[in-house]
Amino acid sequence: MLNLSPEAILASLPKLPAFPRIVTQILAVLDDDNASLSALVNHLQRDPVIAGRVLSAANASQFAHRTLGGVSSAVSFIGMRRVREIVLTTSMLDFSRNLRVPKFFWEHSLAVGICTHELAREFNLDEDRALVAGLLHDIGKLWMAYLHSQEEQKVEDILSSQPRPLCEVEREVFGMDHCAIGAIIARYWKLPEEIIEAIVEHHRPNRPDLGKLAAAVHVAEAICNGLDLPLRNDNQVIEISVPALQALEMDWNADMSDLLGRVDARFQHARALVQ
Amino acid sequence: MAVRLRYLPLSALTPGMALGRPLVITDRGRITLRLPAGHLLTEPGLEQLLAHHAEYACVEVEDPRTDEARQADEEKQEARLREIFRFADPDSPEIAAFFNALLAYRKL
Repeated sequence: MLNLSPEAILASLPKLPAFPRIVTQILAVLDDDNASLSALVNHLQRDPVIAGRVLSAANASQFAHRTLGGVSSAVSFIGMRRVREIVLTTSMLDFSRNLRVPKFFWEHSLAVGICTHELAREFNLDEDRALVAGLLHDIGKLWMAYLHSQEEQKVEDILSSQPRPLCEVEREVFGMDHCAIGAIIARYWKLPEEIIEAIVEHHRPNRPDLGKLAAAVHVAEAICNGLDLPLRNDNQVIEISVPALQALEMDWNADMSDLLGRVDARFQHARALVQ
Repeated sequence: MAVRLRYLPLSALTPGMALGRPLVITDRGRITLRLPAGHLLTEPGLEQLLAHHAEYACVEVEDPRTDEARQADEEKQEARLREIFRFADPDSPEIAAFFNALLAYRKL
């Protein structure tokens, strides 16, 4: 057992690839569409790699005969919200892929990010925060796989032979679970408290005063596992938290096909774009 | 020919496709475009969707499967879902409702 401490985790964080600053800038400054247009275009024009990603993704979203040539036209054609969404997603995926963990990790993060974003649209939550919370909900697991791959494999081996809660097995092997580790990382990156709560609570969202964002990430992860996004033999749904459903005022007896269809289509489209 | 519903990104939509479900586009909670199920997509209609920053639509596509093949697909989807839910509490009403919602979509 590693018996990790918060201090040991903090000391390890400089070993991670640099966290994309534009994510925290978008979350902190760029909430207001009108005030943020020029600020976002300025950011993009200073970063040719991200600007190229935005244009590539924007062009792939258009009909075949139209090609967008610059960041400003991309913003006006596909909309400010969509550009912010592309910047957040591609920045976070680049970060995850720089960790060189198996593809499943970042595909799962992408799926949960998109699904949390769709839930935010459906239930009126902040969309940027929802996307980032979903993309980062398993950042503690990525940390485990990047810095302690043998112990991470041990967790997988235990779970494949006996049905036990993931976090319980992680605490046995690491001394902490990926939710607690993720919270330390997110706090170090100065992410909003609402996102930190979502990272901490997504496996055990049973507090009666549960925040809506934490509830959305929990439900999104269950949806993605239930839809096999991405496909993996050991996808599981063990519980769906009643306080989470209550926090979102969500009723599964209503027709959810439209929500599920949007999540499915967006994931398949985004995965094809980033591969 | 039978049809089935598919959710496709805007870039995969073509003139002549029919909406399988109503399409409602909102901006900050306000409805900016609403099209009914069955609406036939045209080139100007697709441009209109683009102008409203639509991203996806549910359309009808041809379903070449026989009745037997369709039934076999549905059984396969249900078996996979039971595998995913194998450790969930089958007596929980929330789990049952969630299972049924996922199954309804996977059978589309």
